[in-house]
Amino acid sequence: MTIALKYTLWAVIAFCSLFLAYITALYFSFDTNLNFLNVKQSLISNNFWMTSFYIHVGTGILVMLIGPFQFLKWLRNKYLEVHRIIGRIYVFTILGFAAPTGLIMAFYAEGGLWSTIGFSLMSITWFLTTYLAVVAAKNKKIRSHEKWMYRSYAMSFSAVTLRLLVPAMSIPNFGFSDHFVVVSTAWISWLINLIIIELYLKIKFKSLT
Amino acid sequence: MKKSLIVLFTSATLVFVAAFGLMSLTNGHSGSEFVSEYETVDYSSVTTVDGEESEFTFTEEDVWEHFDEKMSPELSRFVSYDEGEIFSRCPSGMSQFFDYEESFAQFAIGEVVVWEGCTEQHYCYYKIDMDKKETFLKKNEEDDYMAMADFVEMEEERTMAKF
Repeated sequence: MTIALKYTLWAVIAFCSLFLAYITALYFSFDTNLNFLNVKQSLISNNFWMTSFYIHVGTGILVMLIGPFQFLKWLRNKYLEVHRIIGRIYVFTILGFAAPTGLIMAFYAEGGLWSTIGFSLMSITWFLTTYLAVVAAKNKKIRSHEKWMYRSYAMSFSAVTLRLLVPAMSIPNFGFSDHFVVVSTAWISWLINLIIIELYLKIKFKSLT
Repeated sequence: MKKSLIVLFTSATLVFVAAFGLMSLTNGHSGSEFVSEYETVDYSSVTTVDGEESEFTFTEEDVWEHFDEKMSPELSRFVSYDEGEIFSRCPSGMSQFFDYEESFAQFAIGEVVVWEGCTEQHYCYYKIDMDKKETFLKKNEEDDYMAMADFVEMEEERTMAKF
């Protein structure tokens, strides 16, 4: 893969992450009649759900914003300590807050049981891929750490994929029902990212060997 | 030691959350609260619960079919979306609410709404003669219904005037 293509891909991912951070940061106006909260009016008096929601959104924004910088090779080589500090913030945020609150929110997901299962598996996979990246780094298995971090960010990026898939699948020409869109995207949004990243890792590490 | 603590902490968190989730699913947080609002109900079968026959000559499924085939493609042309709103968890597009109370005989009555992401906006009211497959629309409650062709013409003029 050429350097130009790599940086273009990085810029696209960083832009999408920034856009997601922007649209979700609006929730911190604490207006309860905003976007996703509009369909969760029955839960806005539930402090447990609301706390989970704001923790999930806040920590999710942080993860989306700092994640892309971990994949810049020059930054990693030149400022290894910065890479480590950002990395620690990234994994601590996911393991301690973003993934567990994602799992809580999965139980209240729109679309019923199948959405709940889809989002629960998403949160657990997000947690595990991040955790295994930490374990690999601690054991000085750098290549394995890199692979798990790619998978972890692919899971983080599911938030972007989800928000691209939903409007794309809502195009009337496709003829998908709203219910189908809501349930299927709870699965496709992270499975598609995992498949793409596995293919990417296969190409990347094949060319290194 | 440190590693074990991390594993213990994370496992405990996951077990707690999973347990809470299972409790929620079995304890009243489940059921209708978790059922998507996008799911539809066949009201004709509701009316047969106490042994009475349906008061309509159609099902809500028929209304959806008519809405998806005849109304939504025509009316969607007049709706524009804010990009910031549609990139969300909720499907955007036209939808409808069938009014079970107002509908009678072969007439399906309800409201057409536009979902812009998770934000719902009123678009118009409808009255469909399901036998003749004729659609009548009106913008506001106090207006009179007009044939869909006339309504579409009015909307075309309105959107042209906008530009």
